[in-house]
Amino acid sequence: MNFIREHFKKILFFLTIFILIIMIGLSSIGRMEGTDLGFFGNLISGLQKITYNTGLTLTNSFYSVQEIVKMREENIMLTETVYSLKDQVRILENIVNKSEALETEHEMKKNLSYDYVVGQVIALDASNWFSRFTIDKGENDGIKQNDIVIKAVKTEDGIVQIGLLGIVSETSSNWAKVITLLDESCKVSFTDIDNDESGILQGSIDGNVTGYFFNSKISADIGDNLVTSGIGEIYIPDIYIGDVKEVVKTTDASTQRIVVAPAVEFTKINRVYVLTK
Amino acid sequence: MKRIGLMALLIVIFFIFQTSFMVFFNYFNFIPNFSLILLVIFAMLSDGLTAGILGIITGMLYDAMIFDVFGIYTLIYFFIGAIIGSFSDDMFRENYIIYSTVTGISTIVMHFLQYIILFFLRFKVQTAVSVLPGIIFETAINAVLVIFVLKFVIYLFDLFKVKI
Repeated sequence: MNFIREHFKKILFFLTIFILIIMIGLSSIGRMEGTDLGFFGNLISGLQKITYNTGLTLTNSFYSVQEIVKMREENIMLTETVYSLKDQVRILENIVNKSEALETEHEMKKNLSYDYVVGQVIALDASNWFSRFTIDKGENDGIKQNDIVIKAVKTEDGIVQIGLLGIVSETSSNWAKVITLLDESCKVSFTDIDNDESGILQGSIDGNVTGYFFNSKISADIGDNLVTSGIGEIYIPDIYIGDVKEVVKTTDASTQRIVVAPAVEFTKINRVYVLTK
Repeated sequence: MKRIGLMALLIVIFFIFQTSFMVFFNYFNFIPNFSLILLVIFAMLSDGLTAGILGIITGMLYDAMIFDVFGIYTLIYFFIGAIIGSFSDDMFRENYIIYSTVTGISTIVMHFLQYIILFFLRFKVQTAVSVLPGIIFETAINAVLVIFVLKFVIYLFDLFKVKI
């Protein structure tokens, strides 16, 4: 008894560390759900939204000068058009490569549409180790775990996807956590629409997205467009991921690793589209 | 109680500031960690138990609001807070250089612990060398900014007539 009294603080210290390690272990294998802070969490996410918007406004106003406002608007319009055209090109390339099923595929892609929720980023993890962010929409808006998050633009013709951002990892009533494509725990199956071969992509701590083809004899060319393949049934097929930036031979020389330039610039994300399945 | 309440409130405010405002200043792949700076200051001014609790509050905010694996940041911030708090009585609290040194060391320890935890969670930590320059810059900037944050904290505690 005296021993406990004398070393109470040390025992408490090591006990807390032990409990936290157990919690990390259970949480990492999915045996323990994340903490929902309830009303307090909603309050914090609300304040985060205000702070994020303030920061965004300040940053935008710092860079924008009155004279270039018009130019910026034109630029946005042109960028949207470019994204729209790029999207069409990708779809057409994909169809041409599968000429046998040309008509059927075309019809299918024409009718491809998903329900979506527009969310706003309210917090970003800016640490060197992870790449995650939080959005201001949650279960109350119909968002569920494993929903796909993309960057898109709304045009007169509808929603045009720019590229894959990541996946919803956890939801609360009014906010959701998203793991981005750059994070190491994010794995995506892809299809190279130029050679119609599939493989797996994964983010990493250094911020690179790398991957390999299931068929080790297949090689990619720099500039090849990659889309989600839908294998594994987590990611919806045909979501644009990015282009092949580099092809690297692995140490055993029999396989090749591809380095991908994601379509989305992850430092400049504000509005995101969550595809609700 | 008022003292701990004010400390906890500042931790929440700094967390919001860190995750929702400071991200706009991430031009060179590093930003100062105000949550850690604040924890170090509070730990230096408290005992191990109080600092441990403040560390848990800081870490829990990160784990609950941003990360899906619960406990990583809670463990790291608890560890840093409790250790500094336990030894704070032996340190010369009036010396700013002590605060800078402890903050610098804490930044390195925080990243080292992240590395260790990620290693055991089977992350590919061999690519971690690429984040080293960012960590060095972050350590340096944290060590400088702690002095300004300390002055701000002292000003706030004086304003609310709370004894540090």
